[in-house]
Amino acid sequence: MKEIKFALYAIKKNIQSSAELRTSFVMNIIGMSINNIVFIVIWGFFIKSVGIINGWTVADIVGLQGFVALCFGIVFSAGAGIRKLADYVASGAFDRFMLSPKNLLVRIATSSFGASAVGDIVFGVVCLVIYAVLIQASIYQILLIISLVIISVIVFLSAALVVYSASFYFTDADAVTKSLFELFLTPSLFHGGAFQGVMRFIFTFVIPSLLVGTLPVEIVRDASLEKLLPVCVLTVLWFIFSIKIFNRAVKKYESSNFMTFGN
Amino acid sequence: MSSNSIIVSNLTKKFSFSARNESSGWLKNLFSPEKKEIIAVNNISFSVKHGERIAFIGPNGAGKSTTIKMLTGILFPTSGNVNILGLDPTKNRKKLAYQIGTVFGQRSQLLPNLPLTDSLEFFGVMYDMSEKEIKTRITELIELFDLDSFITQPVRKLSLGQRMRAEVAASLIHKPKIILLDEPTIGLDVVAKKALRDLLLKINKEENTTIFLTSHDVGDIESLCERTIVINHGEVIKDLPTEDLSKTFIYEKYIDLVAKTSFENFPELPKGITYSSKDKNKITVIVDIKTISVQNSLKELLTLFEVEDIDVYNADLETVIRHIYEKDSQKL
Amino acid sequence: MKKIRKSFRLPIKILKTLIKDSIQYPTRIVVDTIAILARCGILLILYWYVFKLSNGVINGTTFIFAAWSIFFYFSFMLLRLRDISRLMMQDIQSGNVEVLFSKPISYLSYRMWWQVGSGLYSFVVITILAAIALGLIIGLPYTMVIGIFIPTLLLTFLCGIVLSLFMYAIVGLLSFWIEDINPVFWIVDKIVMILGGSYLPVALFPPLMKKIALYTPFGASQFVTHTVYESWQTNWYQLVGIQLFWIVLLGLVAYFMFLKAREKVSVNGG
Repeated sequence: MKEIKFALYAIKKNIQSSAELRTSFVMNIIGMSINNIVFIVIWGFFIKSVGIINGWTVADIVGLQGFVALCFGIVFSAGAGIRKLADYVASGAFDRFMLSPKNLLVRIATSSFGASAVGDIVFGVVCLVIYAVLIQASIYQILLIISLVIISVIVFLSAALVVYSASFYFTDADAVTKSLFELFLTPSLFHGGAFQGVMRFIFTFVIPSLLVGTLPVEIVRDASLEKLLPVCVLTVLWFIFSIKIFNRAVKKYESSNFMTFGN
Repeated sequence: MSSNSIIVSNLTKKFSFSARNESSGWLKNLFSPEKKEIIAVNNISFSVKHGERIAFIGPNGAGKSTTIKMLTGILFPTSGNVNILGLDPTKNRKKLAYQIGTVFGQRSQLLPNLPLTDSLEFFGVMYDMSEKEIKTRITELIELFDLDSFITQPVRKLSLGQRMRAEVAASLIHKPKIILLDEPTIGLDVVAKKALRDLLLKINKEENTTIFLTSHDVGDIESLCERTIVINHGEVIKDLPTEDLSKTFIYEKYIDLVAKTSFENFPELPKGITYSSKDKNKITVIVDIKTISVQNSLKELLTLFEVEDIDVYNADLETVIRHIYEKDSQKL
Repeated sequence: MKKIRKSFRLPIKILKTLIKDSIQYPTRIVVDTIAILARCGILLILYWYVFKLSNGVINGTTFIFAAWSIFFYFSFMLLRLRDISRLMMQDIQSGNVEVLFSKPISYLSYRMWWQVGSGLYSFVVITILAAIALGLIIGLPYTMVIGIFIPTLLLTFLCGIVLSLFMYAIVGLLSFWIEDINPVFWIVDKIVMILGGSYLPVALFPPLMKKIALYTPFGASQFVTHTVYESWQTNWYQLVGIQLFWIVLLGLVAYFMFLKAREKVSVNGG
């Protein structure tokens, strides 16, 4: 409880001190929204020229972008520190987190606030509302959307943690972690219906890209509990796995730090 | 051409900027911000002879960097004139660039992932030198700067001291007539500092390069520069040989009094003597010898305090400089 | 002649030095390989599946054309010309631009050559390897083996480089006036992404979008993606003409913006 209170306090302080917020906040939201709309436009045109594939309509694309943008926004606004992990490790700023009396992971995640990611939150919420209207969602489906948002956020967070834990293992970690994260994020923004067979398997079980958008959209569309259950199980597994990976990676920091101590 | 490499006359620089007013909303700030003006450099004049070594010092925000930027043609003066090696930096920036070297202590200009030779070659080409000239010059610099031990290592692996030496070497590739250094010794340890200063002296002697540096380090000024220009609030407040600078407050003597047991009270001192620091174990006083002689002040002090030891000395350069800054601020 | 050689000496030195840098510092090529696999590789597999579902033909195009078109987009992206915007923003915000001003060079052309140099190695290596791989897996369309293909490809490729540099340099130069160019950058970058034919190959564009792609600098900077289609053989000179028009126009804009920016720095310290 104390940890959560401190995390909220840190986020609040970050928001207050974020210079971005004052000057170009509105610009950022507009820019980010246009940035995101692009994917809807692209896949909209795709559906127009190619036709509907595996039942994916434009509404589903809107829903998909909504889920992913919301995940991105929530994780990388409040927890923007995760993205800076490579930088922290390289610059030695990580030391100060190790000395913090609070939970290390929470402390790092909330060490920075991403103002532009607030644009993604706004965009994501708008998309999901439009999506719900377009598919004329029932109460049951709306509840599904809400709970799936929570699930996707957890998966997204886990994926981010696993990728950015790589910061401890590479010398030029910033570029490497960014491109690894791309490997997770880019497919999640693709037309979900085009993922079939082996591709669907890989991007569900090996790289959890489909868990943050495609599968939630399909679950809402089919209102199917059959798919929801395995997704929940996978989410829990990914979360535990990511925490384990992170803790192991942090130990790597200690040892490497001691090794370079002498010279 | 005259024997001066730098002539600055009545140089002034004003900056105007839009101030963000915290009390009004961002919308108002965006469209009708308040205009404010500050005078960074106010009507300064000085000249520097070929081969002189100048320390250009002043507290933070005094206008040092602004002046250097005007000397190199980065900033244009609001009024006044700069003449460097017969050129006007505002009109002949590029032409001038071939003849001056710059080192900015906190900004590296080297290629981080490659050995230093690559950076040296790179800058050689930038300054239109022929392959042969570049080669000869690099050999020269390696010898002069003793770069041999780390010339093959990527620059990012060098220690700060080695890197600064490399930076200076790189900025000398084209044999500039003047080298301008902005805090070159910042962050260096004592050994590295000394090495760098010796180098600059060598360059100055062997190639008659004019050295113009800003620094907060008294050692740089004392051991390197024959002349010091002190600037504060955009104005030149002192311009004199460094030797004379330390004599500026020659009429002031410092006296340390070490307590026999301990000083319990600190009585009022006679005219001309003031406390510099008060401590139970040691008192330092400043004596103005225009008002009271050393002999008399010692007599007076000994009647006031019970002492174990006495030390009389002149102010060191650091104290002198601090005094100059403080006196100048009191004027305002 | 001597003068020309002299004026290319620094650019060539920049390219040589940066290639050496990339070879010594192989992280970049690993990163680029991951990026192209993540985007282009997955996309091609998805399109392969989609074309199969539609019996091989969509909008009169087959997979082999679409695949090469998409490939050209991502290969061009490896040059990372877009990064010039952020590089310039960093220069301006950190004051590095002033250090460069004290050198006997033109900042704008220096940065452009620098940008080309920093992506060149990855671009050449990955493009050659990936093109061979793609050629072996899906083969070459007949449009790529006719005589006119290689020269026109190179021509439009070079024009695309210059145009992209000008366009993104303009975005970068905006940092002299606005604090945060990122929103502008995103918008320009994403418009280029759509109109360039990355996620959706140009052959699948609806008519209106095709027009916009043809007549804006955003689409024109990526005309390499048009070279594999049959229509290229008849209309390539029009497309190159469009590119040249934008190069002249945006070149002038960038130049005058830079003059204004220099003036601003000189007067007010940036």
